[in-house]
Amino acid sequence: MHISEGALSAPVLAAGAAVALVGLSIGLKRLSPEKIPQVAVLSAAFFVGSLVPIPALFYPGTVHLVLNGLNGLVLGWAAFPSLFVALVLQALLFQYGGLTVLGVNTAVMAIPAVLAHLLFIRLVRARSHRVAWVGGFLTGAFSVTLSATLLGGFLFFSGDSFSEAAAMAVAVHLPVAVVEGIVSGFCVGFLRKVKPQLLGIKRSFKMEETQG
Amino acid sequence: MKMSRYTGNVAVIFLALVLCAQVAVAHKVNLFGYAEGGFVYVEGYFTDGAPSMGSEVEVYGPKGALVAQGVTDGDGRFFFPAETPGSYRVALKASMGHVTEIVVEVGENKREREVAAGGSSGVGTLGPVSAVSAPELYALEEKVARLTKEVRALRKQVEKPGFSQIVGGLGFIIGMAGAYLWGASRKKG
Repeated sequence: MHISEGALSAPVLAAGAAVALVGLSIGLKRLSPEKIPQVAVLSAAFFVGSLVPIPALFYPGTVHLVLNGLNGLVLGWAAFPSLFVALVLQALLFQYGGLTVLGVNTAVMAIPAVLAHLLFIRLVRARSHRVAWVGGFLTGAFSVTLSATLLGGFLFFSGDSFSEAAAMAVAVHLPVAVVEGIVSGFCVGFLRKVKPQLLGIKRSFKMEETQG
Repeated sequence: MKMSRYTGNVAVIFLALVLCAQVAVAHKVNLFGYAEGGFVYVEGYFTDGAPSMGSEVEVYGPKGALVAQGVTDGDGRFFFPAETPGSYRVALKASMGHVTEIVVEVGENKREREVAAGGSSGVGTLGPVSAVSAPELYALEEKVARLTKEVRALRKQVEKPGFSQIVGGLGFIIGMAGAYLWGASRKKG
């Protein structure tokens, strides 16, 4: 899910860059040194997640894992710098996307990530493991679907017909949304057991849970 | 800080990531093209080798004007006549913002094949075209076809993200985080 160099018009590129800049500055302002290792690990996960193939519907070849929802869930606004760094490296090393489209690609990935955090973090912190798993699933599925829609939107403003571009992008990413949801669900379950602090769950809460 | 536990977790996650990266294929559209016998043949494919079928192709001739237009077939292939020598810019547009373009040079000599066949007896001993026998010509054409196929396969391989690029990227991220943390700790101390 990377837009290539030369696919978008200049105003769209500028708009994407502006959104990315705003997000980056908010993210960096809220970033504390304690959070840096998390930002780095999730950035790395996103960086290589794009190499995990998933068969696509209605499309030749494969699409790939995105993992932006999980990134946002743990990091909140820090998802912007985290995803930005990974996208820079993907553009330079894999030639996925490109440097001029960096802003747009950052916006496409990070906006759903931050929204997923705002929407689903409560579910993920819930007492019940089942609710938390569902929260994780929704995080993954929601963020991929929204990313695909945003991608269609950016293409539309560059002259593609929206119905075609957006419908295509969303349809193609349906299997990814499902896989991503399941992966995110299990990641949430794992994190709750091993490192609940990452999800903002306090220790005492975990104790209560095991007692109850 | 519970740094030791962090490092342990981080190490495990990185190991897992590197391992899954080994079975990696992914997604970016590429174009391969060559000129032969008055035609230019191009083939669009994704990083994982899947053909880019049904993609829009636009061809701009030596003078920069649109000279051909169409859609790739089920194998991601497309060809167009290119009689005028010069460079042809071929742009491929797969769906969802995947675009790419290449430039294919078409030589001066329309009888490229005959001249190339003349070189069969060795480099620099370019004999007259009539001196080449039919079986020789046939064998040579077969050889060229095989080489073209090999080049295409190699290109597909080269264009996949390599292990060193993956590890390099991960190393860069760790380095950045390390540098940032080092700076932060110096400020504190």
